[in-house]
Parts: sequence; structure tokens; C-alpha cells
Amino acid sequence: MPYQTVYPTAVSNSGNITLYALASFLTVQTGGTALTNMALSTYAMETWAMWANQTGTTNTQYLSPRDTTWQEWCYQRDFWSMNANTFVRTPVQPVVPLTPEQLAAQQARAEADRVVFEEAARVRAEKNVKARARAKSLLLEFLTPEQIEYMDRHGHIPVIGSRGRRYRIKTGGTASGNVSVVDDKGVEQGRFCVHPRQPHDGGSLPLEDSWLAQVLHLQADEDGVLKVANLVSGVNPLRELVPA
Amino acid sequence: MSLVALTNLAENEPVPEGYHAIFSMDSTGDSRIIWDPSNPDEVAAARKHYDDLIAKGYQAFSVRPGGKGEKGEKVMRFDPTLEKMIMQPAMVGG
Repeated sequence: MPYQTVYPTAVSNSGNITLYALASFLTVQTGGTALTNMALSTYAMETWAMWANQTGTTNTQYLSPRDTTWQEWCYQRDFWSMNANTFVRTPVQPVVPLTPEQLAAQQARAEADRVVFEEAARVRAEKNVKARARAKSLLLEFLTPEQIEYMDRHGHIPVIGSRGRRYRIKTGGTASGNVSVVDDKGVEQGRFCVHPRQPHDGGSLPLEDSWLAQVLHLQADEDGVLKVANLVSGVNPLRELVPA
Repeated sequence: MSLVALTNLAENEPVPEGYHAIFSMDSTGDSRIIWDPSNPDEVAAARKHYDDLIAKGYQAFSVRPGGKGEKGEKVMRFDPTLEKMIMQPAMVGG
């Protein structure tokens, strides 16, 4: 967050308001001038007004991590010019209409950007389709015919873990929060979010690879999976093994 | 010592008779390399490939070629006798 990283900075508004930002708090020397012409949130505007109306020469305001006041002020630099470490408010420049040539050039740039963006999106989508097809062939190579049929019919892969617990891996559009431990009757006892990390090539794994990774890990080391998994709902069977 | 280059296998290309394979998951689906277990140079290159992926946080599972539904075993160190390994990034809670 900008206000957590900025060093002491002076802000001058008509020369009579100075604001120092340091880490998570702001110290303001006020001079009674309200800030105008800035698109601030109500909270940020109120904060400024509060500071601007202070009668003391120095006031300190502690900001919560969710307070966006300093960020919002930083975003308003169009209204300020920087002189050394002092921001001095400058007049708002009037909007000058573009000439037809400038407008045409702007539209041409936008069109070129659109073409590049759409081509990149098309290439990404094509790669994704190929990757998922390749990953699916690996998944199908490993699963039993019964697991494949179950996946096609019910949208999840039944798995027996290394310690004998039963799991269901949901194979919808996600690999997050899709692992459930079920009892002998198939009733869900707990649901987990656990999936492979990002692959070494920096991209993201196709979903089918993630499902296969979940199957392999559960079959080989289900306790290892449960130890790192985040519980979404229900209970974690590992806790049953821990004495109360 | 420079290692021999291992052969990459295309999708749907079967592992040749007598060869062993490592399938490593990545953003393309997976990358597949094969090696001749009777060739010490290729075994050394396969071991390095395995070690490199382990160093990148991958985990290995041995699976039987064609053995549908066979329970995979976690592989803690490179074993040149394993016919087929699937290597995947370590699991993390979401």
C-alpha cells in the first residue's frame, strides 16, 4: 500500500498545508484550506476536511490498512507538481479538443491495440485447449474404466486413499475446494482445497493435470495431502487421530 | 561432464519398447522424456532431469505403464528401474 511505503513527504496546498507520510501514519500540519477539485472517496474527503479544519499546527492520523486516503491522494498527482519533496497544487488544465488528425491517430492506435490483444487472447485460448486435451489424455491413461465412467456420469472421480479413506474429486470447472472425504455411504464428511503449486514453466496447470495430481497424491500419501489441505467445510479426518 | 540429450516424446507417441519415461506436468499439459535404462549416459541424464525437477519443488510418482488404476507410489529418490514416473508440483492448500 503506498502510504505504508512512502517516506516523509511534504504536500503543500496553497502553501499552507503540509502533510508528512511515514509508514502507517500521517502527520499533517494544517492551515485551514479545504481540498477541492479532487475525486476522492467520501472517507478520504472527510479525512482531508478534518485535517484542514484542525487548529493545531501538527496533527497525527493513524490509518488502518484498509484506509485508502493516502493512495487516493497519490493518484491525484495530475493536480500537483512536485518540487523537491514538496507537492504543490497546480491549476487544472482545461481540456483541449483533439484535431481530426489527432483523433484519427488515437483511433488507429486503439484499433492496433485491439488487434494485438485479440490475437494474444486467441493464441492463449488455443494453447489452453491443446494443453487440456493433452492433460486429459494423461488423466484417462491413468484412471480405471470405472473411474472414467463415474467422472463422465457424475462429474467426479472416486478415489481410495492410501489409508483406506474414500474421496471424491469433483471435476467441474475448478481444482479448488473440489476434494471431499466421504463415508461408506458416499455422504460427504469434509471438503478440502488442495491443489498442485504453479508448474516450473511459470504458467498454470490444466485442470485435468490438477485432478490427476490430486488422485496420485491421495492414493500414495493421503495424510500428506490432508496435512496441507485447507478445510472448506465439515471435518478433517486427521483430527480424529489426534487425542482430545 | 556434459550429459546426453534425452529424447522428447510427442503426445500420443507410445514409449518405445525397452525405454523408460518421465512425464512432468507443466502448462502445456506435460513434457515427456524417454531414456534407455541400459545406457549409463542416458540414465545419468534422466537422473539429472529428475533431480532438477525435485529441486524445483516437484514430487514423483511411479505408475505402471498401461496399468490403469494401479496405485502410484511416491518416489523419494531416482530409481532407474522404474519404467514410468509422473512428476508434478507439490500440493498446497488453497
